Amino acid sequence: MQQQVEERPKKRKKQEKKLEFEAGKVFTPGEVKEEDFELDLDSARFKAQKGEGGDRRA
Amino acid sequence: MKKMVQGTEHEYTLYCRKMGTMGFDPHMMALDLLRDSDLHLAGEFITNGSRVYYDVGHFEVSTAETTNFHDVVIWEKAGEKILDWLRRIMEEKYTGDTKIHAFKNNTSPDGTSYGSHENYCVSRDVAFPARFIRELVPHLATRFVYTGAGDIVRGKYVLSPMAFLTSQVISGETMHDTGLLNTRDEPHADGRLWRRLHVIVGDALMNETAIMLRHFATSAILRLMEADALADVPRIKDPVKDVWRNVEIRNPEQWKVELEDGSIVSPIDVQRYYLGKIETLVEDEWEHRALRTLEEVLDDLEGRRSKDAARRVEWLDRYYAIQEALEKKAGPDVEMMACKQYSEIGMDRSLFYKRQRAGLLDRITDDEAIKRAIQEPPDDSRAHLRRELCDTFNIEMIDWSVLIVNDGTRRRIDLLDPYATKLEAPYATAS
Repeated sequence: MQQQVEERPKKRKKQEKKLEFEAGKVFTPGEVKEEDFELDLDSARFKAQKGEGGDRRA
Repeated sequence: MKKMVQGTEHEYTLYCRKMGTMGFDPHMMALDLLRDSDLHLAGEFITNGSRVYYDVGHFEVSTAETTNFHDVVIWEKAGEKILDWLRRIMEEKYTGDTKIHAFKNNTSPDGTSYGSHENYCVSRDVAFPARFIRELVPHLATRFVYTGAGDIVRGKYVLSPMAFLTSQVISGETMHDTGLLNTRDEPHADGRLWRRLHVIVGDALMNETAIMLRHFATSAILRLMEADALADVPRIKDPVKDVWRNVEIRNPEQWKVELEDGSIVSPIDVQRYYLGKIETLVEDEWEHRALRTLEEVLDDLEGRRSKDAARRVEWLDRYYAIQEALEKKAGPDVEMMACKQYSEIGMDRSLFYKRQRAGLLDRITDDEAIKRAIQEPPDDSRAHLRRELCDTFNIEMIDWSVLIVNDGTRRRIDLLDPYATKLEAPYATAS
């Protein structure tokens, strides 16, 4: 038996997206000067919310 | 080795001094930017098949369904790079000189923990939990000697933060009182055929080789369980007790595991048992290479060739990074700064990426593969089909295993086979 196929609505055109991914921003660390590489105090003091990680039972 | 659908979930932590009750939440802002970008697909899904969302205060990325231990590394790294791109945009547009940090780790300096989970699609035929406790738990209790990320928790350097923070052999919890074996059972597939094994005892890893070895070994062991090939597995008397002991010891000669028969072995011995079994499964070049790498890592750990092992074992390399920082700089925070800054995902700040650039770490893929995986889903799993459907139809609702499309009427399309790249006939006719 032949299947009836109704014409389906065309895919809506995607809204214009404001941001386009730029690989150069994250793969080309041209600006990195290894000799100036500094440790950052924020790394030792940042706060995070509790997530789905364990907490060893007391 | 037969393909196995698998993926990872990471709760990334973003931090900026300007955040807080009077500031902004960079996690939410990053999501808003992503949804207004060309990487957004539909709902919480992005074009590469991954799902990105806000979860308990974190920016979470669940990778697309990949079918092997090699691809999962590439799509996991793609998620990391996408977040780093968003972080840079936020800095440029909104915070000026104030940095936004993004960490791929499991604890903040005050010890607050967050998760990184693995998922494996396994046959429903393997009895749960009995066979998983007997055959998989010895692996999960010992694999951290090469899969641990290293971290400082409660003032101590530990090989694996998530192993350190585990409390039980088996548990359904994901935030407190967690187990080596997690009981969550949301297959996102035909539940009569598959279980989604949710592994929550693993760490957030930066090192490509470490991620690859974790998935190579774990997925191979699950395949061996399906084949009923692990009947003679070493039986550990008290796995949590041994984890708690070994996770604080850096010297492999002092690692100990007590078996049920009273004998004492090393976690490396337990891993060598699995290695011998896995050898029977390997077929292609990638699998042979992964097997050799795992064997070399175990040899290097046992032979105390720490510098060699550190190229692939993250807890060792992080430890070396911390020691080098302490040699160069004095101060109370140096140890913690180096420990946490290792896991920053920005290449210009991350100690990990600095060391990778210096050639100290072994990679298993390259930037070109990761760039492709930022835009496109794997071509051999359901992620490919989901993308195709989203490109074809107006999407009313989307989840891993179901779509509601608008093709004149609202129609539900179930995607219950995570390996399927084509729709079954009735759907194919209509599309």
